[in-house]
Amino acid sequence: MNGFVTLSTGYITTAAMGGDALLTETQAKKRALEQFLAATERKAFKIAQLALRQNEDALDAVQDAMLALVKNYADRDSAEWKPLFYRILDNKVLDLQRRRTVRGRIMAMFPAGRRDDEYDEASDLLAQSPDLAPLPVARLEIDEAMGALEKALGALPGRQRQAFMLRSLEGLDVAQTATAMGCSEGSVKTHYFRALQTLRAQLGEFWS
Amino acid sequence: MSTSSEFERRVQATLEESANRLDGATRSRLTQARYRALAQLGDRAASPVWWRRLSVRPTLLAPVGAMAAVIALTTILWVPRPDGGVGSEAANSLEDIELLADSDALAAMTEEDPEFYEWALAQDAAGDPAIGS
Repeated sequence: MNGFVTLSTGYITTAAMGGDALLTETQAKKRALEQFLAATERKAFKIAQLALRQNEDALDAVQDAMLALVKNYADRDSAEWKPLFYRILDNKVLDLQRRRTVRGRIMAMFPAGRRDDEYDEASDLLAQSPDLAPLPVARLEIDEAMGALEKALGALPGRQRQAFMLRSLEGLDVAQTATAMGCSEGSVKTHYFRALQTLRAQLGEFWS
Repeated sequence: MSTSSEFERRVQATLEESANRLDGATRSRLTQARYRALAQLGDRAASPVWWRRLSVRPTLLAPVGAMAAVIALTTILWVPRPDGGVGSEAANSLEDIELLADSDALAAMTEEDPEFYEWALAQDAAGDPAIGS
C-alpha cells in the first residue's frame, strides 16, 4: 500500500510508505484512541476527583468513561472524542453521586460500626510520623498554591467547576464545553465567568 | 492584582502540574483502565461484522433462540415412526411434560390419591413396563 493512512484530525498521522509499515484500519484506530486516552486520563481523573472528592470513585468514573467511549464511539471522528468523553464522564460522576446519596441514606439507618480489618490511620504510627525529608521552598509554594486552588475549586457549584475545569485544564473551547456539559454555549460562558470571579476573589493573595 | 488572563494562565499551569504529579499507584490504575478499554476494540475486530451487528442487539437473538429450541423439541418428540404413530417413549415423555406443566394435576395425584402414588412407586421399583422405568 502506498500513501498515508490518516484518521481524520488530530491523533494519528501515521504514514505507511512502500508497504513496510502497513497499519490496518483497526490498528490505526486503536493507536489513535490510545494516544487520546493517554493524553486525557490524568486530567479527567483530576476533574472527576474534584467532583467526587474520592480517589476510588474518580478512578471508577474515568475507567467507565473510557470503556463506554471505546465501545460506543470508537468509529466517530477523533475530533469528537474529547467532548463525547467528558459528556460520558459527567454522566458517570452524576451516577456515582446519586448512588452515594442513596448509600448514605441506607447507612444512616444502621448504627455505625468499624470492622476489625478496617484500616485505622489513627493507630498507624508510621502514617502519623512527620515526613523528615525536607521539601524545597519552591515545591512548598507550589503545593500550597495547589492546595488552595483545589480547595477553592471544590467549593464551587458543580456546573461552574465543570465549566472551569473543562475550559482551563482540558482546553476545550466554548462549543466543545457546551457539548460535554449538555448545555448552551451561553450557559458555559456564564458558568465560567462566575467561577473565575469566585476564584480570583479567593485566590488573589496567591497570585497577585 | 494580576489581570484576568494572567490569573487564568497561572491557574491552568497549577492544574496541569497537579495532574502531572499524580502518584504512581493512580497512574498505574489509569493505564490499566486504558488497556482494558482498548482491549474491547481488539475483541470487536476479531468478530465478523454480521455477528457484531447481531450481538449488539440481544433482543434480536432471544426470539430466534426460543424458536430454535421449540423446533428442536418438537422434532425430537414428534418424529413419526414407520407405522405413522408417535413412539411410545416420546409419548411418555410428552405425558411427563404435560404432567409437570400441570401443577394441579400433580398435586391431585400425590395429595388426593396417595394410594395411587404409593402403588405407582412400587410398580416403578418393580420395573413394571406399563408405567415405564
